[in-house]
Amino acid sequence: MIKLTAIEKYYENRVIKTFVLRNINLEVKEGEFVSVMGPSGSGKTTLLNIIGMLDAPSNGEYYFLDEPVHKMSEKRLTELHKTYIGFVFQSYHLIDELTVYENLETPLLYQRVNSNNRKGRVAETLDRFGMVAKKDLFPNQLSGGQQQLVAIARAVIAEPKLILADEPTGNLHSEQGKEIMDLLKKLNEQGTTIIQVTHSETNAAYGNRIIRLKDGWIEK
Amino acid sequence: MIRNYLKTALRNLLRFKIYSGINIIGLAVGMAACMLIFLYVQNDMSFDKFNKNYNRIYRVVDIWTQNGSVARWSLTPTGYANAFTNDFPGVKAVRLSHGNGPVVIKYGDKLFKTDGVILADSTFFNVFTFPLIEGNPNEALAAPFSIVLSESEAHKIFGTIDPLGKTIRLLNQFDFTVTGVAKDPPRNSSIQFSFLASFTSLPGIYHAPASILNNFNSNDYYTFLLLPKGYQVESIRNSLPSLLTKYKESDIGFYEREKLLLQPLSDVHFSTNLLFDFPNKGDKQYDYILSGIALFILLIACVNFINLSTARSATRAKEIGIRKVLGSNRSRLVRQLMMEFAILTLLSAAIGFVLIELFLPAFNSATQAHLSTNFFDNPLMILSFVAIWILVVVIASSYPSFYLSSFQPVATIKGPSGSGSGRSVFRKSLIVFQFAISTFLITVTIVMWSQYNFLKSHKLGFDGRQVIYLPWSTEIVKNYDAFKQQLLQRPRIESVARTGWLPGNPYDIEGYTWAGKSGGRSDSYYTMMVDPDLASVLRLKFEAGRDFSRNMPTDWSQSFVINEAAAKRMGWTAPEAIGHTLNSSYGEKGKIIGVVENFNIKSLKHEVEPVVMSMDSTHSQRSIVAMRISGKDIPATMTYIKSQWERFSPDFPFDFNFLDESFGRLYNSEQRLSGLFTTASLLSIVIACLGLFGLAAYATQERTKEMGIRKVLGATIPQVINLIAGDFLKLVAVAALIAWPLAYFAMQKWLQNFAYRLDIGLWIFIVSGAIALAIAMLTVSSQAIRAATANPIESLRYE
Repeated sequence: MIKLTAIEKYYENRVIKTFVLRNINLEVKEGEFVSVMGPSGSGKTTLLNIIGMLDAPSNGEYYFLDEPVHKMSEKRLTELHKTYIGFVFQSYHLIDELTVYENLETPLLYQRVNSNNRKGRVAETLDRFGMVAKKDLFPNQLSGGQQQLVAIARAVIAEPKLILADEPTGNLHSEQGKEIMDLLKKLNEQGTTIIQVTHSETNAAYGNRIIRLKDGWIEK
Repeated sequence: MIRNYLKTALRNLLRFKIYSGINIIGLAVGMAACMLIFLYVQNDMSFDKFNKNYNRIYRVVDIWTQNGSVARWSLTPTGYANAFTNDFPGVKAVRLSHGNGPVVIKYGDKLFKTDGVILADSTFFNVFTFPLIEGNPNEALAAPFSIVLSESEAHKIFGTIDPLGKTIRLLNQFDFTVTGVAKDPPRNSSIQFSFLASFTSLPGIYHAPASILNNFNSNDYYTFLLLPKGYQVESIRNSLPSLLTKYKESDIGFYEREKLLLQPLSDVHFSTNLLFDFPNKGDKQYDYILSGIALFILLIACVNFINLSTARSATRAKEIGIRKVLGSNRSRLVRQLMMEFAILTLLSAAIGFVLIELFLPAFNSATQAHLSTNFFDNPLMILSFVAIWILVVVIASSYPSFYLSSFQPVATIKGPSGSGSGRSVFRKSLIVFQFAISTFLITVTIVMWSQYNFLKSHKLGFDGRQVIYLPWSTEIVKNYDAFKQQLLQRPRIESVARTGWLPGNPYDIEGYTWAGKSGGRSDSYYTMMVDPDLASVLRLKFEAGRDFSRNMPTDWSQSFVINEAAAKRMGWTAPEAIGHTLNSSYGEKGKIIGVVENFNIKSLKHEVEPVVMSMDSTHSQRSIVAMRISGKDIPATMTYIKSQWERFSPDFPFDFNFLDESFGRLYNSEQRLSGLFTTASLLSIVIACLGLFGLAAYATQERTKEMGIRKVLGATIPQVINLIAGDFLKLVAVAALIAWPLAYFAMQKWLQNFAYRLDIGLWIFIVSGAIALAIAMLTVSSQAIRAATANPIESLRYE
């Protein structure tokens, strides 16, 4: 599903090149649950952003479903990432001005799902995540765990093939963290490919493969 | 999707009340100001265009040249009307008199004062579009001694009675039959009338032969022509010289050269420097300048919008980043943001409408305009309001939309970036732009007011304070001596004089020659019929010779008093002029017996004009009674004058003017302009400060932590305030540096309009800069001080 070949990412100023990622070769198959680990500054988030097409690599090739991402136009990228990829962030990133219901609805709007279909899917997702009672609340009226739950719900509502989670439990206490991880595991079992960035060995263990990054290199 | 956008927009609006408020109100004020000025300009530009045939109506202008000086008359002799209709078949002509000053009208035993009666040909209602409510437009002004009343006058005099066929008496002398009632002329008409009398009454009124209706040597009446449809005005223009030679029966020896021009009706409102022109004048140049200023005010408001929206970008960036992650592309975001701004500006537009309604009366009184609040009748206005709104949406929201939507999601999601208030070069330049305009307008306003006051306080060569003058009355003219004696019994009435005209009032021109004059023809001079007391009423000072004297019989018909400017033009110094003999083109002949110091008869836009004064043995031309009264207890003196007036002239209402006030009215347009500029500069600085306030508030909020840390490290409160305020004040100072030279050059050019002008002093620039800086300082530091005096622990705790 994902194939990275000799991916590099660096930032340049007049004097020096600062490498964030070096010679990353990585393949992820459909249905995998991959955990990316490594100390702060090792390039985990950058790797995730590149996979999620939010950031472009400086060098190297990236194939997503056998299509060359590194050659794609902005428009096609947007198209691709909104159809196939869902994101979950450490700090949830819900839209503060919108209610739970409206937050869930937003990705469907961008995919031009028609109104009836949209209503049905939002209702179904609310039900599935047990949030029907909270649908009219704004993000700041929810606890952190609940917000992350909404964020995951929002990530899956568009039925992506791939979920990218950047330390999804980082801001949560362990009880909530466990719930979220169980949820991700369940999604993976239902067929969604998941790549998560995490600091915690416990959480990493939910996955079926661990990739360790250090100073931008994949540790062998 | 749109609902989703709408929701985000509204909730954002409500969440950031201060910013939304500043944005909306600033824009509302800007749009309202812009609209008001456009209303004003539109009104000015629309003058006389209500006439259906305005683009086929022309006024005949008569230009005389003599000795290099040019007299441009808006009045023509009566004969040209017939000349044009004879020679150019299909052309209609109408002659009009200009209002000859107040006239008293009697109906039954009631007296009414009017501003003037205009004589007009029967073609008047065919040429111009003044609808008649009653009467036949083709015949109403045909017969001698017919009169048409304006609707409001008819109502005043006749109430509910039908005025048609009734007789009213003018000047206690002439009986006119009412033949029609016309709608009041619109405000934007150069021709204003309340009474229109038939032109054929002219011989009867002046006890003159009918030839007075067809003469070619006295410029007394306006002549308007209506050309048939499709007629080439150029063909008439080309034959004007031959028309002149054909009809001009004799050269009256007064001018060297005469030329006729055809002036389009739509230019009449804007023409300047024509003698005896209609009073209500506009100036296209000022209209353009004002439109420019209106746009600038709008731009200032738009800049606020841009600055506040981009300064707040950090708050908004997160949402934008998330939307991008969720699959929105840039053009969708731009659409979303534009729509949000469009809603915001629509709110502004609505508030702007309310503001216009609220402030129109004040605006009208400040500018002496008569704009209607009811501009829903005015489709052009609504259209331009919509145009202004679209302009605002495009200018104010396109940059922020593109700017905000350009954020890279990765960057924005990581957390607020430091691209805050007042830091970007773009935003700084916009602030400079705003304050440069404000400072420019403040400077211009100060110069205009100074010039206006300079004009009002400038020495005129005569003293118009405590000089009052009374209207014309046949009874007073008959019993003038007795009236004067009664007045002079009061010591507080210092002197009383009769005169043909006074400085600032209508004047007359006549040609003179003298022995030894080079070139055979006469030179034209302003002439004044006076009596021996006028010099003391006006406090004219004699440079050489003496004043007229009642005891010298020759003074009544064979003497002249001239002013220095006249002496100079004749080629003499004041003492040299005494004893020379002048011949007027009307056959008067006499010696110069005195020369007075120069005095201004026109506004100070013009140089002192040469004046020749003479006494008039027939008394017929000296119809104004002027007197100098003491400054003490003026009301009692006025009561006394009124009682005497009513004794001598019971059939004429008592109505008086102070000379200094009526002369001051010559500067109405300057006053009006200064009023407009005051409003404009006030608005611009208020709007600019509104924006500054928002930015300062934002900068303060954004740097609260930094300020807290600095305070903990030992910074004093002024240092902390300076952190915020210093940044902004530097920009205002830069703006002043840009605005000053521009204002200086603009005002130098404007002052060229005046023969007498003030020097633009350095103080004006210092004051204007100080005003801008002080207002900006107040705005900014109110925010900074609050933050600086707060307990630093408060701001640091929340990290």
